[in-house]
Amino acid sequence: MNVTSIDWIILGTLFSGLLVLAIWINSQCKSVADYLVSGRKVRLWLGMGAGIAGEIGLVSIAAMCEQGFMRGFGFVQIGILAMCVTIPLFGIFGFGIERFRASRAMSVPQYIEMRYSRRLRILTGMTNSLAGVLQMCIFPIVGAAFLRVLINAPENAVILGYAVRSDCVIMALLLGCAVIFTHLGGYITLVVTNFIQMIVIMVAIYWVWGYLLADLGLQNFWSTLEDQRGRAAFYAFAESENAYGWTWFLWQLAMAILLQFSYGPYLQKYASLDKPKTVSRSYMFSTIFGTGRTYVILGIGVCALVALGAEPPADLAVGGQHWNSMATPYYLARIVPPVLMGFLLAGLLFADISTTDQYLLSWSTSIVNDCICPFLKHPLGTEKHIGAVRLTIVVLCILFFVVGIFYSPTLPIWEFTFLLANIIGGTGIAVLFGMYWPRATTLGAYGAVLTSLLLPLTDLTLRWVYQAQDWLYPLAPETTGFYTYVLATAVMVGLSLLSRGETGYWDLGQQVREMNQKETDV
Amino acid sequence: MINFSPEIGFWSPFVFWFVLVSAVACGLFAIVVIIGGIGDLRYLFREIRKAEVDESDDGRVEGATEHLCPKA
Repeated sequence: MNVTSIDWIILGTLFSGLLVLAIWINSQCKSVADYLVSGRKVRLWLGMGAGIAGEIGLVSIAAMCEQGFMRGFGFVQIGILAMCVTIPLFGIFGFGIERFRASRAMSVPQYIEMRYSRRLRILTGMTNSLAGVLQMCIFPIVGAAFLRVLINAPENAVILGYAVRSDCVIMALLLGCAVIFTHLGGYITLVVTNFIQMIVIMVAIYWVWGYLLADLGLQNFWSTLEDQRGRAAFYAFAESENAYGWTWFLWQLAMAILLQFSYGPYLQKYASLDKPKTVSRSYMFSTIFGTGRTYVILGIGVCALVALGAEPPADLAVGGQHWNSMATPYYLARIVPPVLMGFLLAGLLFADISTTDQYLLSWSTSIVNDCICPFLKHPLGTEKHIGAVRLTIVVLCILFFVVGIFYSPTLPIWEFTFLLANIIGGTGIAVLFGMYWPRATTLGAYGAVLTSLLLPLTDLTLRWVYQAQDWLYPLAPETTGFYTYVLATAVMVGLSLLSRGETGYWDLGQQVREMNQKETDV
Repeated sequence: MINFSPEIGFWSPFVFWFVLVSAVACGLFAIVVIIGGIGDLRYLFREIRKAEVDESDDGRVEGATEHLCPKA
């Protein structure tokens, strides 16, 4: 391994400090609302700082490095165009997200029950949890594989006389950390530790990128990217198989909009903020400045491309897709010096803990609140409720570990996770129409949710079948993803117009105005 | 400062400067977030210590949130 004693000391010290902090915060948690949404007392800067760490997971760092290696900075135009739509929509007008906060719902399915029906709450709770859990299944193993290559660990380690895959050992450690931190105080711990982790992550990625650029030279970095990937590395809509293209952009835009009303981790963050206006402000600042962070991480992947070239070294027996994902850690393992390696490892470990914790807590909350509690005759009470969420977290971690052992990639990491997020987007359509369209009915919402569930799952299943048969799958993930949204919207509108009867619509706009006028939430 | 490939045209210098400015702005903004976040942390702990426990605010639609969803 290429990690020195000083690196392990840096990693150990930062991790121990965070653990002590989490134990202390645990003593401050008194209620279910504290555990699940920090008592709704999180203000703008803290919410954004914690959000930054929650958004940059180890899996997203691995995925962005892979994209930077494959496609350079082609993502830039996609980011700019998406911001032109989403900043005014959410950041200025607070479209939908302020209304969600004003509903005081802790989760999307809770709002669905208020607006539509308890049965639809249970269905959306199940579909969203299923998609979220399936998506999360690859987080630990992808993160572990990245770390294994980074620390240059052997493929197999001998433990108690048995040869065990090293990435499985690392995966177990990562999941163990996630369990510890989610057990120590829930969302309130998460917000505070995420904030601290954000500082370490930002220092690590900026320091690494700066070091790599200084090593490669800026002119060499840019000219080699131009030579290696051509126009597609700078223009998302170039005519090249490496370019993203318009369908990919439209898919991403539709997803960026719909997930704001449906993606559990986002909504749990919005629910924890002190008032609706803080939600839209937090979105605006995070989006404007978050893009710079994305480019820094893409830039680390580009550095790997510049230093190593597009093809794997002759002594490495790896295929194209596998090389794309392992090239960056392979390069970093050989270039990053001691001390910086310690901070990089701490940053990556913290990135994993912060995101995995946030997502684990969100999906386990959804499973308990939306799939279990509706069937209970009596409320669980604070201790049992929190206990049920903690037990669910442990069960999920065991599931992730088992799936991680057998996971075999059929798509780049980003596209796999986005395709599963498509399932959740159907709930976003139901929530969006529910907030703004009085005619939206429960039947229409069922149609949208089921359409968004069935099409992406069918696509993913067929991909595995085609891969097993060694056939070429005819549909790009963006084609399935985008047209699923189009069809689900049409189904929502069509079925709502066809069905009659009263709806559960109420005007949340008035509540938004009232809550924004108060200095703090009540 | 940097020589760009004429074959790629406008997008190469545009992306270079956009990435550079975004990365610097994001780094500076992170410092602002850290300073502001420390103040918000103190507020959070003070408020959580003061807050009373509401047993019914646990995600159920009945009780705590029922009054907030009148039918249209």
